[in-house]
Amino acid sequence: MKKIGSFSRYLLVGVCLTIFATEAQGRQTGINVNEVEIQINSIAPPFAVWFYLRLDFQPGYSLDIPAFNPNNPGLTAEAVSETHPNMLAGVVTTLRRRGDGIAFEVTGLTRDFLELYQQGVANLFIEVSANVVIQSVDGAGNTERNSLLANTIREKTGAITLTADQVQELITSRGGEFRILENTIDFGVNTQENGAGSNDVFLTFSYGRPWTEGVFMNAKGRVSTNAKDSLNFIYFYPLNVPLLRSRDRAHQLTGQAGIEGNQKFSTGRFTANFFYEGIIPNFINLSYGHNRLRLKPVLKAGVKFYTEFENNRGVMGSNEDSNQLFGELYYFIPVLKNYSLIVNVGAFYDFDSDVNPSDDISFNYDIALGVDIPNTEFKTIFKYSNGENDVNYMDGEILQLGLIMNIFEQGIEKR
Amino acid sequence: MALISRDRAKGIVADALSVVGDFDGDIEQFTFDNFNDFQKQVFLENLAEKIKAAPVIQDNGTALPGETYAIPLSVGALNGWGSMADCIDYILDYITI
Repeated sequence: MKKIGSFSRYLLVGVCLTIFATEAQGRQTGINVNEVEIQINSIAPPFAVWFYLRLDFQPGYSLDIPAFNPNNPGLTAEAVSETHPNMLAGVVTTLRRRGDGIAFEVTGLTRDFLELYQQGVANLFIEVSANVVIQSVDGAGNTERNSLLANTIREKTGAITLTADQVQELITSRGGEFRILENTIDFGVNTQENGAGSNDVFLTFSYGRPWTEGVFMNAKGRVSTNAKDSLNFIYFYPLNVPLLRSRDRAHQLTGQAGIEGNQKFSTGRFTANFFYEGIIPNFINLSYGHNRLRLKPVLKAGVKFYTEFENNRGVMGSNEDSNQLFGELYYFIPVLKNYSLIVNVGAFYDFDSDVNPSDDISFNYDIALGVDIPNTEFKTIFKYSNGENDVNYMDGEILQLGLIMNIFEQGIEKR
Repeated sequence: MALISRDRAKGIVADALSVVGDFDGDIEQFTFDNFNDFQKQVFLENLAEKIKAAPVIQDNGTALPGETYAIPLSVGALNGWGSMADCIDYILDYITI
């Protein structure tokens, strides 16, 4: 019998192993998608829609990240819309990797497309250039190969869409607006009875939205069942423009234009404001060793140029064009373990001798003592407000007992 | 295998949080309840920047040189976080390279 030499034996084993490996690779199975999710990035460029595909790996296995690119040479991904293909010019799709699967980051979607997409009018899905080789690895270094089919990616990404809130936030970011346009409403009851023997209900609000890309409105105010309450006000700024920001984003300059008045607009003015807003160091510590987050105060200071259209200075008081310097401070101060003080202080100085005949610097402030109610969205608030309204210059003092909640947070939780 | 350890994610959150607040102990139970809009925005922007700048080291200690972290962040996401612990978990759930 002819013996097989050593070299020939090694060659035979090598050929067998190669055939086995090739067959094993050929038996790649399609991996299932456990979950598909959609998220947005609205905080810093690139503003994007993200699709996450979480894959059905064997227990103890996760994506072999270093092996992904070598296993998928030349793989490309593209965001596709069969209904509105012309609206995706300039859109870039990037494939991302993580332990439990892959993600696609889609940048460059326009406002018009996003709105159509959210309404279900424009479809969007991810098309990859080939089935994706998914190699997973366990803690001992054992690997397993599967294939994520291009059709699966197309089907899963096409079956999910953005919520209206996500589209709105993304559009806001795309316009270059870096401020949060958060919509809040707080309500409460005046603890002091009015002249009719009942307690007035008041409501404070903040509302914002972009008109178009780069142009934003916001409104804030306090209104009550007593329309003559001197503390009531409505500010409406249809134009807000960011001008400058510091590198750590903690300081910025902003310009805004709008209208400011009391609740009935029996006093009011058109105004253009330029102000600094920034985070300054803490200067009070009342936590006395308890581990509380001591938020740094937010200071806002600037100059206002305005022209009045109504005023409350009587028949002799003509409407004035003037300037004001103003400052505001928001300071949340944790006290001991469960209490909080929330301080809002405003100060302003008007240069016009008719508007400010005594040449005074005026103040208004409110101080709220909050007590957390565990496991709820609510806090009890005892709030004392005092000072001059910077629109009508009327004094006011009020003690309020109320509940505070954030409707935007409630909305997100319901989603 | 996670792309980042929980301790490293927590450290990044603490770094971003220190721009808007002071604290002496563990951050996980802190909430966003009393952040005003400006503080939320500054926190999120710093968080995004610090995640992007962090070297990619998987939770088993394996470094992936030449890779960078990427994650979607939004105000909607923040408003869904009840605490800093939720923020840290979100990073673990959504961080990619």
